[in-house]
Amino acid sequence: MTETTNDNELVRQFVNGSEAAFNKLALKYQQKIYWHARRMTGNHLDADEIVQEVLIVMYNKLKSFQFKSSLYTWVYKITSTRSINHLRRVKVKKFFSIDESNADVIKDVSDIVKNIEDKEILDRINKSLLKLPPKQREIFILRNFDELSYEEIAEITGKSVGGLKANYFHAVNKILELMSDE
Amino acid sequence: MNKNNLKITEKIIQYTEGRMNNSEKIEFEQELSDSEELRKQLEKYLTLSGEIKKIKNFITDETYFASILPRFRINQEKQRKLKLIPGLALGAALAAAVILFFTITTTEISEIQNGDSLTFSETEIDSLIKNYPDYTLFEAENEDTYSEYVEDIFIDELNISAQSLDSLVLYSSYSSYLDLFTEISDEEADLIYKQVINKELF
Repeated sequence: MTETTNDNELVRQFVNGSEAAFNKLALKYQQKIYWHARRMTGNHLDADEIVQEVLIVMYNKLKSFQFKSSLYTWVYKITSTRSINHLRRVKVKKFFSIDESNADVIKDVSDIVKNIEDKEILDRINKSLLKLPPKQREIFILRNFDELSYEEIAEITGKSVGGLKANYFHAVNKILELMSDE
Repeated sequence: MNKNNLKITEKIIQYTEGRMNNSEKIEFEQELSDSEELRKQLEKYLTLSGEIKKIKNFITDETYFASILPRFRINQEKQRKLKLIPGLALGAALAAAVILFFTITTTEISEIQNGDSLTFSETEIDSLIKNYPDYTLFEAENEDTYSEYVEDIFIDELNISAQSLDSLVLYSSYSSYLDLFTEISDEEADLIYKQVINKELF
């Protein structure tokens, strides 16, 4: 049984009332959702919030899933949209907030990456990623971390493959420039 | 942004992703051996790719991932309860409205029964009076009936026996109670009533 067939079967079971089938789907995708959100937002707490939001959306919308695309591109689409919306909200909050330094300190305490060396690398990459515009960041993450093809990314973002490639080259170039500046 | 750098980056990505055909690949490798800048850029790109690979294989706190689904289920239950609250509130409001409706309706019925807020036509009044058991009292024109009526009042309200009543001046002075009703004002009647009340009769 292929991965897509397996996913579709679980979706059907869930639509027919099996909560266990939803649990299996959630367990399968929760790490992918978390890490995508984590890289998009740059911190654990925001990523955690997005994971919960995505699971709620999955639970509520799976019943209307059309099986036209694969489930994992559908899940990435939700995660990506939620992450970008979250970034917009944060931007608006920061605009109106006087003290924003405290929030960042609190966010780091509950991080799930415990190894100091790993954390340093993660922070360095995150720092560069956060300097990219959200759309470029999204493509960079989907391509490099989630290892999706340009065609899959096009399906998720709704952009043409040519446009995506151009955006991706810009993103990589920007990160290489930032690495040179360090 | 340097356009040349962007072009170099594009070539590096295509080369490392294996998207170049043979002739493009040979040409790029030739450029690599000729250009220090291209070599540096490729090196940076490979460093970045290496770091990305490293962070993909991080050891993370698995207890966090184990907690995601249970927390989702708890949140879901909370959401379900939150959805129930407006439903319960609506139910309570409806129940209150129903109770209020019945209270008002019952009050109106009792008011109707008391006759406080009724208006009747003349024929309705006649009909009601005729059907009233003591309507003869209102139609009575002879003084005996009034005398009996007043006597009853004396006996009931003043707690005076019929024999004691005979000795009262008030009772003997007026042969017709109809005259009594027309000749004295309400204030005078009240005054007399009070005097009778205060009088030591037995």
